[in-house]
Amino acid sequence: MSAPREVVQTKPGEIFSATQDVAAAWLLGHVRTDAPGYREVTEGGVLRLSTTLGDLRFDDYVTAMGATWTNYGAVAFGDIPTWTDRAGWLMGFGEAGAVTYPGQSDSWLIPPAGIPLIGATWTQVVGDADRRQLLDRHRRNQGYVWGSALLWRCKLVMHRYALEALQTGWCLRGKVTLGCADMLDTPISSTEPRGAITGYALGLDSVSWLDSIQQTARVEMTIVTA
Amino acid sequence: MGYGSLAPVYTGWTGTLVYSDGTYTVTITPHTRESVASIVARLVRDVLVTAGVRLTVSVSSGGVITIAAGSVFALTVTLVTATRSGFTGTYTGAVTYTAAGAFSNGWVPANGLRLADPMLATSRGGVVGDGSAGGSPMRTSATSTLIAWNSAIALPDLTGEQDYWHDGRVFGRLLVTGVRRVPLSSIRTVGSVRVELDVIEVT
Repeated sequence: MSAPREVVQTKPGEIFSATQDVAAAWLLGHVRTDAPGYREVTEGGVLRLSTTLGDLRFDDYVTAMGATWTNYGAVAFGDIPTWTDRAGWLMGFGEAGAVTYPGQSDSWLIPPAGIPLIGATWTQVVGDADRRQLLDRHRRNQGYVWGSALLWRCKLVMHRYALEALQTGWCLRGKVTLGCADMLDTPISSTEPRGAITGYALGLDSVSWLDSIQQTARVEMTIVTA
Repeated sequence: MGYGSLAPVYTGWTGTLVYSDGTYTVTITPHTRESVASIVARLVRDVLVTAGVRLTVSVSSGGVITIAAGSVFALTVTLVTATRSGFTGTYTGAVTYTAAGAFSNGWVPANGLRLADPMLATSRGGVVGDGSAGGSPMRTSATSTLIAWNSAIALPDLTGEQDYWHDGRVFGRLLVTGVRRVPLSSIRTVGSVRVELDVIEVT
């Protein structure tokens, strides 16, 4: 089995494109553009993602970054992005901000916010057993307070390079999306199996190797959705 | 295939490790806290993605590192990076280079080394009732047991952080918190033992 290809490119004509042609499924992080830290690139002048874009799923984030770059006009061969904040790290271009990399290159790491999966399955955890009611010290609690949160226990199979990207932590916390490679934006349901699970990562249940040469890992994690 | 080994994490690095093939030059500058294993692994990765050349790395039973490629390349190692890696100066005109000596204070068990776990764990985050948000889990240190098979000699100093690596790939950074040695036979003339190291991941 070969390693998954890097998934962000800075090539002329397809600046900052996410080439989603290799994975069966994806675990994608989300990025907020209204807070500083992961939204800037420069090619002579600082280009910044609009704060009005708000919360972006990683593939939409890459597209938005590419649109910003294209609108600036820097699409000629030889244009070199310089990362002025951590956006480059988030897209798999290296460890630190404020670094200039050669132009027209694929990212050389799996992006921490875009993790390709060999496969993924998930089951919904039945929450009835977890329901309970607590009385306060004055015994004034009345009525039932059932939560409507949906817990999804997800089993993800990934290459060890993808596991290294997961270890960086971006998709271990906060808002994430899990879905098949051609996922739709709508939530997954019995009538829309190509929908995505978009929710919040609650933690890892287990991580184990599937093979003795430690090439393929199985990760079990829990995601909560509304 | 070389030997799996432990490499201690050092501070006080100077110098660089430089790959060059005439077209591409890849320079690895050690970070503040890094091991020989981590530096060599970074070289393997960056040469692959920059030059498209897959370096193969092996460590001999004596802790001597060999770096090889499919085509001729040059390797230059300087200052403390040279001292600790066992390489000396500049190597040119070949496809395989073997260090002059062992890398510093590594432990290379004679009969193998195995760490079964990926060393990744988190705490559990909470949930709001309607599922519209969740408390973020935190990375926690994973624990595991690292198994080595070796002759019944004294263990090296394992008090500091160690990188566990094999063939140019680093599997994790560990602290050893406990050691057990189990003879492989009740007949004491059989001099091999299984060494069980309780380890905790550090990041």
